[in-house]
Amino acid sequence: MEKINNKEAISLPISCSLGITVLVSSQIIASHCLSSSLINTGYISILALVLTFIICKLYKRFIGISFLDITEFLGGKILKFLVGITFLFYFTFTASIVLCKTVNCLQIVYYPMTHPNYTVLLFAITAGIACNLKNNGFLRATFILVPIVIIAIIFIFVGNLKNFNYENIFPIMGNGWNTTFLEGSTNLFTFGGITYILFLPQNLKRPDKFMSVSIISTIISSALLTFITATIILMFNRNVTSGQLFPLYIAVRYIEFGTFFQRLDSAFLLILNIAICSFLGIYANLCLEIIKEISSISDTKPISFPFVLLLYACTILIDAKFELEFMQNQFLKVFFFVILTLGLAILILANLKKSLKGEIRNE
Amino acid sequence: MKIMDIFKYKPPENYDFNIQTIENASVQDLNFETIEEKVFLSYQKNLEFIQSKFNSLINSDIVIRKFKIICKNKQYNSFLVYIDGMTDSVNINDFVLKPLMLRNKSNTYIEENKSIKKFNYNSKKNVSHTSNKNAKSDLSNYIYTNLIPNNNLSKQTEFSKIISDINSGNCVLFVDTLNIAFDIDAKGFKQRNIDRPQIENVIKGPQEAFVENIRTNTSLLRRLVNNQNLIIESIEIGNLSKTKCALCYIQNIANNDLIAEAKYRLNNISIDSLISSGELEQLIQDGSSAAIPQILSTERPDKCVKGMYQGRAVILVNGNPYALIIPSVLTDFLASPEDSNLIPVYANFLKAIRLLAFLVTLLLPGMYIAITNFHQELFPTELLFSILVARENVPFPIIFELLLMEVSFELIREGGLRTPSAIGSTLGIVGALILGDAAVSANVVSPILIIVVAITGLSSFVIPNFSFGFHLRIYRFIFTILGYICGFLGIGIGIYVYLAILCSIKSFGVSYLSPISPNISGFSLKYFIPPFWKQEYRNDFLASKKQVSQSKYSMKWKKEYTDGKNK
Repeated sequence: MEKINNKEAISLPISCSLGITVLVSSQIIASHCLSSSLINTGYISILALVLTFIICKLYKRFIGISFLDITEFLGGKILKFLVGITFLFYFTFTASIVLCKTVNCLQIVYYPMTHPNYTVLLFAITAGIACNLKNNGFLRATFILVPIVIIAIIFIFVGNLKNFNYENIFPIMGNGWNTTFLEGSTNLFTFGGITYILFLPQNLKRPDKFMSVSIISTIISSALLTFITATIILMFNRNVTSGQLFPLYIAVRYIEFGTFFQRLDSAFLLILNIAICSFLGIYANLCLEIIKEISSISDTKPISFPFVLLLYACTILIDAKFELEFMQNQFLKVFFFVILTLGLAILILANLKKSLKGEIRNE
Repeated sequence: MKIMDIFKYKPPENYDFNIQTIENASVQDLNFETIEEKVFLSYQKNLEFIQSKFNSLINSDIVIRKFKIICKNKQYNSFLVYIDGMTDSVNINDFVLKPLMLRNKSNTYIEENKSIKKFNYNSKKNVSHTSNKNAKSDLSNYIYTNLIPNNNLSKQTEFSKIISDINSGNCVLFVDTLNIAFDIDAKGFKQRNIDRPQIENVIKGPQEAFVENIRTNTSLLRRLVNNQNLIIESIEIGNLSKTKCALCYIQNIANNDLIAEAKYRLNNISIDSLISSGELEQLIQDGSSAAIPQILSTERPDKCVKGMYQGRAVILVNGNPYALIIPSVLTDFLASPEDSNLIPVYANFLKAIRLLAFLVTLLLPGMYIAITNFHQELFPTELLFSILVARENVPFPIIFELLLMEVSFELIREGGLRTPSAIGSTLGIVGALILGDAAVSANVVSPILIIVVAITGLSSFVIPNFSFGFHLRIYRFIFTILGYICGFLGIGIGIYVYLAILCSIKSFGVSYLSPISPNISGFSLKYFIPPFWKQEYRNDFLASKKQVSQSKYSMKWKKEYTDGKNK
């Protein structure tokens, strides 16, 4: 993969978090924490920032080295392979969940007569094409598209200001301290970009700027999460939030600008599709990079389409709505924490090993 | 039938001529005859060689003029070779044949004459010109210095170079006993005068365009650049055609790697012939699978000079009035030469219009079809009703309607190009008005669709670059089909893939979407141009040797006035 500059790098974790936030996590936060959603959002944003900071600090001794190489340094090739497979499975699984959710939303709203498998195939082919392009074309496209998506989210927030019911944030603690802070911390999975950050340093043109890139991307992701959650919470009551498949889309329907632009929901759909394509492109490419690192494959292009077919297969396996609900509410959260813990543990242990080796050498 | 007719010759009744095709083309076909011989001492050998190489017995325009030259009061057999129609007869008669054939002071001069002496700077004495040591060299030097009054004369020994020069309009003199030939510039073929640009017209700005002759084109560049650092390197391309190309750049501005890469690509082209800059464009661009133009082609010298001053290189091809500018990025294809001649507000307004035209050309038909088929709620209710009413009597699906009109529009456009200019405009009017009106009256298409196709067509004319306009026309059909298949989902996917393709393209090592992505220096909207006094830096993506193009205070008169006032 060609090295990327800092600005492009900032857009990547944002795009990863956006896919999960817009489609999956914002609704989970709203339905779980209710009126305390905004507090929960702030709380998990702080947690995400702290975690990002810790990861960056742990990377200080491994500037420009890939996460899987650090794993190899810690436990040899077997550990590298096992960790690589685990991360590969996580990213494929997350991409499948987001894709499945997108396709379900699209089917309900616009394509009731079309079998969702065709729509999934369309997205999978797009991801395949993106992975086949030279010179990080999909990454650079993400850099251009992410600002458009950010503007769209702010537009939805601003456009709905007059529809907000500020009483929805009361009681301020929602279902209580426990739900907001203890159980609520599991909502950290919305920051899917943190897991991407683990794989960022080796692709940076200037690895010394890794910390600033990571922190900025986490701050922007937090702000976007706040905008989305605020829009949902302030617009809808408890029943609508938990019942709707895609509350942000419903929020767009309420935006009115004069008599000409009466319904902008399909325009939002256009931007959402672009954002999902970008998300899938990044995740598919990351998976291919992991495959490349844990195997002896030198060029990932020949396996890009077989991989997206695997992604397609994973997505169409989830065919019932309750399965999807379970996967996104439970499995995705647990898996995220497993991955995050694994990542942090490897970095901490690798740092320790490096310190010990340094001490031995000094002695 | 008479009996005698049986014995008479009868020509075949069915005349059937076929060229036998060669089934297996081999790599050996690429190996062409190379001329390695050098000029012979013998007059006869040289004559036979030239006659055989030029097939002078069957080639009607090859002229071999045999005569005897007088040199130092001696006569030598010699002949002159040139191509009739490519040389200036008056020039050859007056400045080649006359001084060589007619007796005059120069050719009757004998070296014992004391008047010509060479000053020996070492001994500080006047010494006589020594001639006996190397008589042949003396003869050739004598002819070169005394007998041919031509400003562009050279001695050649290689037949390959001699033949190439004869083909380009020179005449060559062979003299008996000399193993060199005199290559005399006597070009005199008819060529087009410098004219107004045909395609890239501007209202305010220079009105000169390139012509077919490469030397005229280089002179246009040289005149505008007006700096000794302008390098014009000559490169021959084509094993058979040996087409002269020129790589032009400003030595102390252009990036060395860019120039080296350009030279590398130009010097490593193995083809038979090169006729146009369009062919060369295909041969040197990074990749062509996405049908997106990657090299800017222009007929305007001022545009080339502007590019060179930014750090780009220009390639000229002999016989073609278009220059190639490398590297080129997307914003170059949406820029008009007019932009720099207008004040920034006007120029940026036009650039905004062009950006809008780019989006409309690419997306409008696809968007229309997506909205009418899938996302009707985006239209206001009244507009939706009027569209439905207009489409009520149309029996075809909307995709058929749209494709029918789009294809008709392309036919009109192509027909207008191919017909003479007087009829071309009429054809456009007939096509647009009568065909459109008749189609609506016959309920084949709806009136709103005519509006959509017309706006798309108009927008496509706004795109300043012909190749880029073509690219948009093709991609428009793809977006139309995507919009028809799955509405905004298809359009969204199309936009993402299109953008990713654009981002993946590189033109001579420069990202196609520069300076937008990769964004090196800032988040400013670099598509628009700042005022001229603010253009302090050259484009960073070109990595030119001199990044600063003007001083911070370009309007020194203003600064000095302000400073004086403050004092």
